[in-house]
Amino acid sequence: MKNIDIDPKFDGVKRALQSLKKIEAPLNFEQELFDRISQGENEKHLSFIDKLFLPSHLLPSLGLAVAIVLMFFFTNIFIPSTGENPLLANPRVRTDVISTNQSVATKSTENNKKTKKGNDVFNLTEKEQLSLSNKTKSKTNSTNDPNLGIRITGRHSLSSTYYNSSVLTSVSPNGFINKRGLDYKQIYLQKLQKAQIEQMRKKIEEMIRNSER
Amino acid sequence: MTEKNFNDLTDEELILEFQNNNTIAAFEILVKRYKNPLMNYIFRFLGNYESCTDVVQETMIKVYRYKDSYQSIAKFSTWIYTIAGNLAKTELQRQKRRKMFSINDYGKESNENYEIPDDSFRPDIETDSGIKNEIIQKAILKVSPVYRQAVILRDVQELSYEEIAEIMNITVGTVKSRINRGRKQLQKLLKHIYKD
Repeated sequence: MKNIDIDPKFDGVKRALQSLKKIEAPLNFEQELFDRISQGENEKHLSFIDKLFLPSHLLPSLGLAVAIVLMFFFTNIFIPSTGENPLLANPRVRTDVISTNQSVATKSTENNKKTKKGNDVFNLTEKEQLSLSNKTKSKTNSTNDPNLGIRITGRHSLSSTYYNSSVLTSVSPNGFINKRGLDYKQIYLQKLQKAQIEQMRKKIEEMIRNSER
Repeated sequence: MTEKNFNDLTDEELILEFQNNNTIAAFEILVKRYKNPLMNYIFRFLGNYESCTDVVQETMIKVYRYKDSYQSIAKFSTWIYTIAGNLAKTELQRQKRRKMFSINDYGKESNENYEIPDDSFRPDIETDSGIKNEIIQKAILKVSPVYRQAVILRDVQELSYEEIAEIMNITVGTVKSRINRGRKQLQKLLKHIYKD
């Protein structure tokens, strides 16, 4: 390559460039420079936590916190909670009290074992259960479906409250109600209690009649 | 070591002192030595005194903060010129973008053609040599930045080809080629000045 520095055709350009006035830094150049350096140092020394709590940095984080609280508040108001609403929930099936026909056999055998030691009351009720179920079967003619009936197994106490031995729980052509899946118990009253209720019923009927007049 | 003694040290010794002992006096001497040459170089490249001051200060700040990235195998002057050159190129790009946006915005709003006013020629306040300076500076700014940098480093800063090659991170051959092309472009632009 030709030596470009000794090429005379660029002498004019070189002279022109070399004749240019030298530019100097402003008088306060160093002062400004060290101010900028010290300013940068101060910024560098601030830790992340310090910066987070600077007034200028605090505003966005505060805004974010408020937004999160508001979002949480509104989502909890307008979206139903996953918790069970007691007014909408289905009633709990009391499996300790009610069982389907299928489980009756196993339960009754268990109970038999338990009560064989001298619980005459249970033996009596089982007989009653059998006789009652036979009667209802003959009434409804629904013997083929094992899921139709609910049988109450056992007796919880010796008080006047005890459970029905055998009840049909489907709506049959004869007007019986299917009580399958229902959580209920049937209370047998003593004669005195029945008489009291009957009296109350009559009084209410009389009151209704009187009010109609 | 006193400041007088620091003045006797070379650039490389000063930066080493600053690196090892964090001696601010050594850094201050480096700033004193390089502020004017860098101002001259960057001003010729950008053509704006305020931007130039900003770029040179930024260069010094970079030297201060990243002093440990300097390796003593290289010359300090080439290192600082490289930093300044890179910052100047970034500033030039930013200025170009800014100018483009402002012109575009003007056109959109008024639907009129816009011409950039030329305030460089001020016969009322400029002397002959001043005018000549302005004309040459305008011509330098018209040369493409790649050639401009090489020409300034060679003909204004009077650095060697090897130093320029190191600063621009190119071979000596490429440096010579760029200087040649840059001078050619300048010669075209400054024809009327050489007639005198």
